[in-house]
Amino acid sequence: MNLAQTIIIGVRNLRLHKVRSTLTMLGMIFGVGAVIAMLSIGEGARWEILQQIKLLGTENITIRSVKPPKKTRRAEETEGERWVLRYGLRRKDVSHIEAVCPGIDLVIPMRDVRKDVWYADRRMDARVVGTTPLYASVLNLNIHQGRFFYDYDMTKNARVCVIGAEVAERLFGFKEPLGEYLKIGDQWYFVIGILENRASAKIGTQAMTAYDVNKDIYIPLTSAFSRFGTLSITSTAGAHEALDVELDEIIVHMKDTEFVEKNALLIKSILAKRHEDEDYEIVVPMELLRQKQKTQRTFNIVMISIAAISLLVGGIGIMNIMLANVTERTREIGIRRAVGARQSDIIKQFLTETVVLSGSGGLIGIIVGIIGAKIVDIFAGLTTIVSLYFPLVAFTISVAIGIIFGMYPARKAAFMDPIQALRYE
Amino acid sequence: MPEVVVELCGIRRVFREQGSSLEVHAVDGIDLKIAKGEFLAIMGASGSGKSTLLHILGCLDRPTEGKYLLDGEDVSILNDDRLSQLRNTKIGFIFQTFNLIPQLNVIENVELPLLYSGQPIDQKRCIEVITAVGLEDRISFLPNRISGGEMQRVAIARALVNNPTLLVADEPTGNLDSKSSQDIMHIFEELHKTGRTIVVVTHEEEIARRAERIMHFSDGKIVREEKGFS
Ligand SMILES: Nc1ncnc2c1ncn2[C@@H]1O[C@H](COP(=O)(O)OP(=O)(O)OP(=O)(O)O)[C@@H](O)[C@H]1O
Ligand SMILES: [Mg+2]
Repeated sequence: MNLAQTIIIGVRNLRLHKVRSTLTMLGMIFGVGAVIAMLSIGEGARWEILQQIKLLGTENITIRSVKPPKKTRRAEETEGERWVLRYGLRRKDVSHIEAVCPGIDLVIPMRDVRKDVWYADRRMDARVVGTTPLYASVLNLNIHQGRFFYDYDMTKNARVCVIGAEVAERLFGFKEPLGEYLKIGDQWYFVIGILENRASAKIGTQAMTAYDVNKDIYIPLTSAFSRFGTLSITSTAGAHEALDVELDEIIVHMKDTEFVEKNALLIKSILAKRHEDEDYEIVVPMELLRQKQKTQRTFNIVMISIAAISLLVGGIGIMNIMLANVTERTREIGIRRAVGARQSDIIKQFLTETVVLSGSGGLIGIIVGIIGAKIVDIFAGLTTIVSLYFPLVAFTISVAIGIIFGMYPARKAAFMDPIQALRYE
Repeated sequence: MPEVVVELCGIRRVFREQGSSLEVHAVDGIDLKIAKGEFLAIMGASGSGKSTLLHILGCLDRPTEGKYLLDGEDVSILNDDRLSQLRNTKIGFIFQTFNLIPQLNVIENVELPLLYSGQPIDQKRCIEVITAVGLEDRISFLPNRISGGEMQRVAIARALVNNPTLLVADEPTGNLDSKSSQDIMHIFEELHKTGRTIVVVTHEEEIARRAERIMHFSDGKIVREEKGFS
């Protein structure tokens, strides 16, 4: 008996009990559907983490200025410079870190201010970032058009800027921004580059609010100092407060990720010595990502277990039905044996039936799973990715389940005594 | 000396009930030779071991003791696969209860042995044997749409389809009325004329008379042998 004949016989027998076969298949449909959905959720999460790695850079350590808690603010500040609160990272910290830490590739200082930005009559609120020329490469910012600024622009305090994709779109519309002037605060800047549009990373800690780079404007750090200074005035609840912050952020870029851990400790002790207040925080993206990956892994294990359990239940359902099937068809088995079917032929026949059952359940389950993943994507806001190999994996699993759970009933059928089987009523 | 198809030497079949020391000697030392083309009838009281012997002859069962040569090959020592193969190629078995598969129509039931022969199914051969038993206009009927006599004819066609060396029938007319029984026996007679070797178990004297040779069975032994009509 060849495979095609076996399959035809199998399908025929299953169609004799349509309702029963369908109900049995449901178990597989949900099991495989769950597998597909779980895999795509896992894959989506993995992709998001990869995006974040790209955005934050695992070779980086970021140090940010934070306003120290009120009670620890030093008295002399409130006495001497009555209205000015001075805190945060200084340019000297940069050179100190550069000098002390091993394995450092670059240390990038950064100052950011929020400003109104104008072009013609269009206005938007943007983050204006003053930094050094290598910022773009360290943070993997890709230039879409034009260029990032050079050392030359730094030394000249040039009034040039590189704008994010959304800034370009919102201020310039269909107009070509390169070579145009836009107004930041009350000063004119020449647009020399536009960044590629990039999906923003959502990383779940407040310490690591990665900004939407599409809404950023980048200018040379020297220009930022000379034009905006280090002073800023904020008003909270009617009270004005003057702040003096030299640098908002320092990004320490290592030659290799192996230096990250050691330098994180070193930087901590350096800053602890140099700053009396805790007016900074150290963020190590690699650690954050590691943590995230770990949580993700636990989550994946839980999801895979759920999927495995539903597959197990589906498999047991199939086995149950096939056992009933074998008993019901005892006489048929006897007849087939009497006309020359070998035990292996009987095994083949019942196994084929089980695999047809589980396999078609699997195929439908794949469709259900893909739809399920889409629904999760749309309604739960989780990124889901259906890789090409998922259906293959799921189909293989469902066939394997057919074989595993079909083996016992099939063997039971095959090892019956033919004479007893023929006498069965 | 005609060619011998079946040779039994001291065949015994002992059944042991599980959990008891009771032994049933269903077949108790049989010596028998069946020549090619012979038509043999076996008679005997219920429980005398006729079916048990027939199962051994039909390679469905193995003797506990003794030697069974089929076409010169010792069958009593073969494994299950080889026995299946022999059933498929050398034996045609006909049952009292017909034993057709209810989901398969007439021709599919007849094709069944060919399905396990490892060769492509020869539709022409199937139609040929169906025609031989007079059912050519019932080819695509399901078993529950035809009469008992017709079902038994389908079973005979199925037994013949692989051109077996030995045809064994266990009370083939036991479930039929006298008219259908006559039809079936007529078919057996015709087959006998074409030189087929046939063993039939029956309770009916009238049926047995049609055979060449009649063996009387009691308590697993042959007690008497006589000649039939043909
Ligand atoms: N599988 C078995 N296990 C135990 N005993 C059995 C088995 N098969 C048959 N027997 C016993 O062997 C004896 C012969 O049985 P068998 O079926 O061969 O009789 P029979 O001559 O065909 O009877 P009948 O004319 O009623 O069909 C009986 O006593 C029966 O109980
Ligand atoms: Mg009997």
